[in-house]
Amino acid sequence: MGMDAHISNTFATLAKKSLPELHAKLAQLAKQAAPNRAADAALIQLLAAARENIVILEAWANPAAAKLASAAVAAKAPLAEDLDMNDAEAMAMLAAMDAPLAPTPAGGDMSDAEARAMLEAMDAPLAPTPAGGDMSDAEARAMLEAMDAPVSAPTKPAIQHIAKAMSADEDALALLASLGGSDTDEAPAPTPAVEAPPEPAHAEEAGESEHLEEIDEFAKNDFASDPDMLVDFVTNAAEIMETLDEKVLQLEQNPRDKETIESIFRAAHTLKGAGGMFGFKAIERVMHRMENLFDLVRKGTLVPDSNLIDVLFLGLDVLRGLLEAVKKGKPSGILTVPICKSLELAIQGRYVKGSGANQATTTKAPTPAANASTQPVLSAAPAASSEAGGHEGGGDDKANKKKSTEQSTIRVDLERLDALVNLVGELVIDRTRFATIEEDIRTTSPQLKVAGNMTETVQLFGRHMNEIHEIIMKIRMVPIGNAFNKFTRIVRDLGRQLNKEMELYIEGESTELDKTLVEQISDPLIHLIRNSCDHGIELPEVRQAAGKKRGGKISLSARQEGNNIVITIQDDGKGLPADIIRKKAIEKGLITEDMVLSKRDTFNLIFEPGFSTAEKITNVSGRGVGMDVVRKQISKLKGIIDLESEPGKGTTTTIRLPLTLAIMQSLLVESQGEIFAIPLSAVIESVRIKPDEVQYVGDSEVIKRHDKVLPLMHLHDTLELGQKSQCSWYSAKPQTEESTGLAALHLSRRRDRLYVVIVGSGDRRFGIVVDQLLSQQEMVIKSLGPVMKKIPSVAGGAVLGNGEVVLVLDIQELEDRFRARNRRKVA
Amino acid sequence: MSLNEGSSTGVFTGTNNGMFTIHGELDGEKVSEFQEREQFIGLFVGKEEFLLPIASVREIIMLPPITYVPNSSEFVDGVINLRGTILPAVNMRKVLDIERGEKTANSRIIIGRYEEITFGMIVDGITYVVALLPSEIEIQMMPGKGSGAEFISSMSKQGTKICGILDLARVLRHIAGDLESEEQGEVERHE
Repeated sequence: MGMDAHISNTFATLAKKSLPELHAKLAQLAKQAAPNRAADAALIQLLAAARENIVILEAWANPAAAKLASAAVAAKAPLAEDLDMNDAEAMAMLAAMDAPLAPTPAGGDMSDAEARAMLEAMDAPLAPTPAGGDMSDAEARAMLEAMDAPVSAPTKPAIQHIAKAMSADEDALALLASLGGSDTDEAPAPTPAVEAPPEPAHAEEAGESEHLEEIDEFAKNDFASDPDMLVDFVTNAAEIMETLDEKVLQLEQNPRDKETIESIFRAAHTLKGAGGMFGFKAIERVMHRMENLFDLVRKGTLVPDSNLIDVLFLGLDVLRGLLEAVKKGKPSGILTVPICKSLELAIQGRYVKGSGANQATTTKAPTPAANASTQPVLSAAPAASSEAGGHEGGGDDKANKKKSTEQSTIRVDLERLDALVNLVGELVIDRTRFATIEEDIRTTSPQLKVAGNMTETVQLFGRHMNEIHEIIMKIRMVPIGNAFNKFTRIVRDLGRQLNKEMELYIEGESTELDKTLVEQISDPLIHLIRNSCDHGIELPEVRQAAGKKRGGKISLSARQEGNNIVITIQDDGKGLPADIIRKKAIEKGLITEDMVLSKRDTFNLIFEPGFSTAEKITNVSGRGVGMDVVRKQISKLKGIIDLESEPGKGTTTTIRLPLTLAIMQSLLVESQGEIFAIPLSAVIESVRIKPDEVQYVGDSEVIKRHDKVLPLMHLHDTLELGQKSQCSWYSAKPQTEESTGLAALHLSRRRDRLYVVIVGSGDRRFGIVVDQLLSQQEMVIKSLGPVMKKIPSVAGGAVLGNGEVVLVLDIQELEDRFRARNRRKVA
Repeated sequence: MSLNEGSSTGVFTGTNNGMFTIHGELDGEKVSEFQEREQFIGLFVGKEEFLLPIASVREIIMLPPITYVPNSSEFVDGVINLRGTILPAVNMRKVLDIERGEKTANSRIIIGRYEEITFGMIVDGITYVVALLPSEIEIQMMPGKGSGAEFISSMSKQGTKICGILDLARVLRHIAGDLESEEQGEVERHE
């Protein structure tokens, strides 16, 4: 025995001496074989055999290591039961490991075989305990553990060599990762275990996961201090974030869509790269982890489920916060560690499934320290593969750039654009002025030759002006889809939060609208959509009981109708509870119990300030910001909002908006010699009626129009134009004979005809009685100056072609005033 | 730097602050000081004459058509168009509490500017521009009532005529104060 021991010792010493040499040789061979795609199967087999022998020798030379390994296996075996790994997957993995050992490689593909050789080489320590025909989960786990264990044993250098050889060739790495991806979910785990130690970068990566520390958000460099570059970065980043939001949603719908994940990956990679270049470390760091996730999804290793999508959105939210900080130029103090950990956990989602990963991902990214520490080895493989993927992505980026130049767009400073729009607005006025002069010349001295020239020129000028105007208006137009895109996510998030099943259908997102309008319409729309989600759509069970589909449907559509954009939000939920609204309104004293209201008027009560239909306040809606804010906002945009609802069938909200705010089409009307402009967007129709068509309801005048009863308002009455002579001493216009004659004519006409402009403000409609309808004009609406800040019923002023100022009426305020006056009259 | 515009009988005396005073027969007066003179514009509101520091006047225009703005400040007659910009036209008769008057051939609008606020003031005539020495301006609050007493921060006592000098800030504050009932924030802005 002692002799045996002596011999064995000598042998071991010898083996120890020669082993490093062997390792080096082997590594060299592997290195040569790796880049050489045509490396033949024989060489691979030879390598494998050599490794096998070395390992046997090593095991012999250091029996302690073997014992250690088996001890580790024994200790960790119970853990295996926690694994959510099915037998089929384990078998697939083992098959992949065994393949190169077979006399004829399974895959005919050379590069495949090459990768397998690598895998096999790493798996070599397993060889002493050859895999049986049938392996249990525990055994599979044991194998993995065995692979981990030798790292600390003398085999370490050998594995390092192999790993170095591997990392020397990115292709091989990518292959390895892709192999791991396509074969098993477990593959990425063993690879980092072997690979992590030699690669310093990866080692850092691995270390970071254990004790992530907050880093500075900014490490300003030359790029970041160049304001132009920074602006570019911020705008690009915003675009990328939008794309990511949109695409991640698409990914959830369609988890296996190659194109979607590719574009997500590209976008993520670009942002990460740019963030890194500018020294925004926090962005780079979070993005890097997201990229890793995307990469796994891309490779099919991870199938995105709602939990994963949740984590991704959390990550996107953090990124948005960080980008906001970049925009503001000062760090936001957002902690990146929790989200990084969540993302890392998500990468290993499969391993720790059911042991907290779900909570970790769905809740707002708490620090699942316990989970993190049980799985300290992370993402080295994904990192490596993302590196390879990055190159791929870079290539694709170029393709992407090419695509965008085809569209050939240019970014323009909004301020400059606004100045241009304003100037064109002035030119439009000048054109009107020219036309007036031309008309004057033509009528007063038609015999002049210059008059003819003038007419021609003015007409040509007008045509060009029209074109310019049209183009300039289009410049400001952006597709409304920009505002719509985030709604899909809101509906999705709310659905999960409220345990409702619902889907948002978007239609007409390419409808174009003024940029400022798109920005400002977003908030009211969010509010309306939240309302639909919270109050409209019922719980799936309730829906089923009512004979509806479990999943609710909310549709959001936009379309152009003349000079208006019509946006509708429709849900197939339970509809508005008219009785509850009525009860609430009586409680709040908005109406009295004996008041009879039409269904429509009842619904419109919810637009009153302080009105909430929410029976209980949830965190989704019913928390202060009421529908009155929605109506105010819409009115501010010169829009009209309308509600329709049927119990059990759903609610439809319709918003009409003017196409643009800068230049407004208005109807000029005259009342008691004063000219006013009514925004055409508010005008439904203008009619001429006989005085006897006016009917009286109590004190108020009404007319019947298209089966609707419309209250009538006399403009001069509501605006108290009678006070003019008393208030304005210098504004009296000189009374020419012509004008007095005209006035007399008007007066006589007024007796048998009434001009009524029917307008809609918000949800209500009424008629405005004026003396004359003058014309329809485009005008630039302006403020009345600082001293005149808030004039009731007046939205602003506009300069007419003749240089006179007309007041532009604010229909909403006018109506409020009208109602207030009526109430006063009644009282 | 020396300036000796005085007549041959003039006596040059340097002062502490580097300014110089020339005594002599200048402009029919015994004593004339070439100190920092402030220029004022003379204007009529009704039959009364007032002065306005030229520094606060941007331009003077003929009376354009004024558009009446219902329910605005009682001192504002309406709005005017000044080369594309809409400005309020303040009725100075109302501000200064002078009886009602009408547009005449002499009516003008003085475009005034105080801090960031530009506005028009309707006046019944423009007289001349005067340059006053500090000694010719007496800072004095008008006691009691009287037309526009509260808007006069000082008086000119040049020659025999005494004119009130209008204080644009006070005028504006008054107009804004009128708006106070409708909008609170407005006052704070002007003060």
